[in-house]
Amino acid sequence: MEPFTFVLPSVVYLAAITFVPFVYAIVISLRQFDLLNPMAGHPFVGLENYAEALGSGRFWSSTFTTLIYVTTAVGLETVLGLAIAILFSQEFPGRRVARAMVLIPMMTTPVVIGLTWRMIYDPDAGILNYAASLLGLGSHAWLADPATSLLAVVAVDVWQWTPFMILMMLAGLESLSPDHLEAASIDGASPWQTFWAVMLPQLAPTLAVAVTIRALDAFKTFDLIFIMTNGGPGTVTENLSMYAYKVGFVYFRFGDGTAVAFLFTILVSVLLGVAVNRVLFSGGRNA
Amino acid sequence: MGRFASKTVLRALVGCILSLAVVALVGMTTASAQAVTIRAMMEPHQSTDALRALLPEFERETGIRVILEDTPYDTLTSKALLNFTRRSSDYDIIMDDWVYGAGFADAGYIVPLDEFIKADATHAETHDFVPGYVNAMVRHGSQYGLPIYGESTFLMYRKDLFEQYGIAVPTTMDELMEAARQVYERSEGDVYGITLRGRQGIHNVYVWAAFLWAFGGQWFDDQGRPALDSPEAIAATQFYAEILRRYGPSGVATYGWEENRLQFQSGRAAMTIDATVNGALAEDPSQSSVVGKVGYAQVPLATRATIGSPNSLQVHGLFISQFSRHKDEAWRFLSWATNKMVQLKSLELYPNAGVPSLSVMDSDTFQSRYGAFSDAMIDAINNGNIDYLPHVTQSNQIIDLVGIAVSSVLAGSRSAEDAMRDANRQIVELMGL
Repeated sequence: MEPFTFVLPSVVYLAAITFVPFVYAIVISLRQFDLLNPMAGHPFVGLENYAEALGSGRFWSSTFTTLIYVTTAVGLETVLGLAIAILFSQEFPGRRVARAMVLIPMMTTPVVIGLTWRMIYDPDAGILNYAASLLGLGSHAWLADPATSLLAVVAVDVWQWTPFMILMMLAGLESLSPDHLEAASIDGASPWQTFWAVMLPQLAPTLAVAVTIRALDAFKTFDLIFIMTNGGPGTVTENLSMYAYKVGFVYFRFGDGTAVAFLFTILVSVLLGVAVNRVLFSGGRNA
Repeated sequence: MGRFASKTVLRALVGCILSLAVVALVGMTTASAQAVTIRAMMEPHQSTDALRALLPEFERETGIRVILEDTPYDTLTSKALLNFTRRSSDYDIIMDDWVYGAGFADAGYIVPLDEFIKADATHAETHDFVPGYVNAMVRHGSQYGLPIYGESTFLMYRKDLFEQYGIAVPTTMDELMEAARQVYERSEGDVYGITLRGRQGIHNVYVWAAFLWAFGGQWFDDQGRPALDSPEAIAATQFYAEILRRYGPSGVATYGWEENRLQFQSGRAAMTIDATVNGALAEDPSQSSVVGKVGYAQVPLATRATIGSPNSLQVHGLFISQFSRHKDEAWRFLSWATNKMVQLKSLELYPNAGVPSLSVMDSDTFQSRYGAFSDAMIDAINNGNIDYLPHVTQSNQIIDLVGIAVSSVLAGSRSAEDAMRDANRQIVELMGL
């Protein structure tokens, strides 16, 4: 009984802040819960909210947008993060300053980042188009053009979160055993061969953990999109969190909004649950 | 061991409950010792700042304590709604746009004020609202709020550029297009012909609706069915996108109120259609480089056969919550905050061009500050169309869906016909028609 007493506070705390709201959310998602229509009450409608979400084009288009966002953003961050981490693991003048500075984007508030980048992207006053004009290129409305708006938001995500990848990769690189690298160089392996055959396999567990954590976060992205495009133009940059927010807090339909949020949770759990299991439980052992 | 553990838990629980009870008791006694306190959920706005500064006067006079809580405008309505659904008495007064106020009234969240007005003998003497503002807040035959500030929309244009290029003030949509073309082409793209809000949601819909009405369209037909797939609505959308794509700023699709205003204030665009309050900002030497160069006119019409005016009538009011436990005190505050003496004082403290009192608009202070555009603004308000934006329960969702449609036409990813038909179909569906 004593161990139980020790964990009791955290069990009560967890139950209060996660379990109760979770169950309440399930209840809401099975009801019609329309803030602007209190006369209707909150009648039980079964899975109707879920069926409605699954039958709507916007749910699927925002799912698609979410997947594109996560894969491009996390993909680019991984490649860039690894490359920069390898650079930072070498000795060069100003290395300490560079390592400290590269972390700044990660520590800045997303809302500030969103507002700042909106100005940077501005076709009239933005510095990006000014730089382009110096190179003799025309100006482009990055956020306003449906062909580039999602990419423009992804670019900001990459700018903000590559430092996280660098940090993780640096930690991974520092824990590599120097013996293996030395052995590779004695065997006459080229830098590329060393990277592919020696470093990368040893880095794999770190890489997997970093990608999983980053992907979990990227799936939930809301603030950047809310500030930079509000989901537009049209619905080009509307991801699932944005869509769930709109249904809940713009349309005031809590039942439908919660159902969308649950479908979103299921999607993320299916996609990442497998990964998390493999990475955290078997991946670590293999290394 | 087991008994010891459960005893400790029990003791802890009892302790918690006891201390909670003590806190509650202390709270109750202090509350009853004090005078009535009312709490209001307010928009961050000049009129709120002015009321806050003048509050001591009211509190001294009535002995009622008032707490004015600023709530960011983007989240105010959902916060108010959550508060209402909890049937909470936390807020006695809500300040919001009547677009949402109408929904509150339909849902029974706010109370009719007729009885209070009747019982308040001096109401008629102390209040002289712009008729359009106060009449707007009549719903089902009852007055549901009192106006605190309002606005309409008008056309703002650069007198100096129009003179330079010999352009007449546009009164039709064809002339608007032509004026935009003249400026854009003759300045060789240096000055944009026109700038408007393109950011989807309430931003672009607020300005796009001027075109909807100017082209003879409307939100709902006589039977109350959504009419956004009408030829007029499609033509309006087409025109809005075309004039911006040809002669507007390249980033216009992301422009909200702020960006649009800045573009015009900095002299980069020759025309804009937006809220009348922007007049005050264009004439403010501390932030505008076009002071004295701006002319103000009514929104041009595309047809004589319009159903309603393309000038908006937006009014923000104070409402009393159904769940308030101090409705009489709340009414005293409402009546005080909106009377003309307080309005006049507020104009001196935190000027805003949206004051709802006729005598204040006539005052020297108002005229010396806003004289450049006050005539055009008063015309626009008198001409203002209360159906400018939809006033139904699902307004917010309808505005969002139309905002998305208009945005995708402006971005060139859909034709006006496709986008508007699709939006209309979704609105019919959500209204359950």
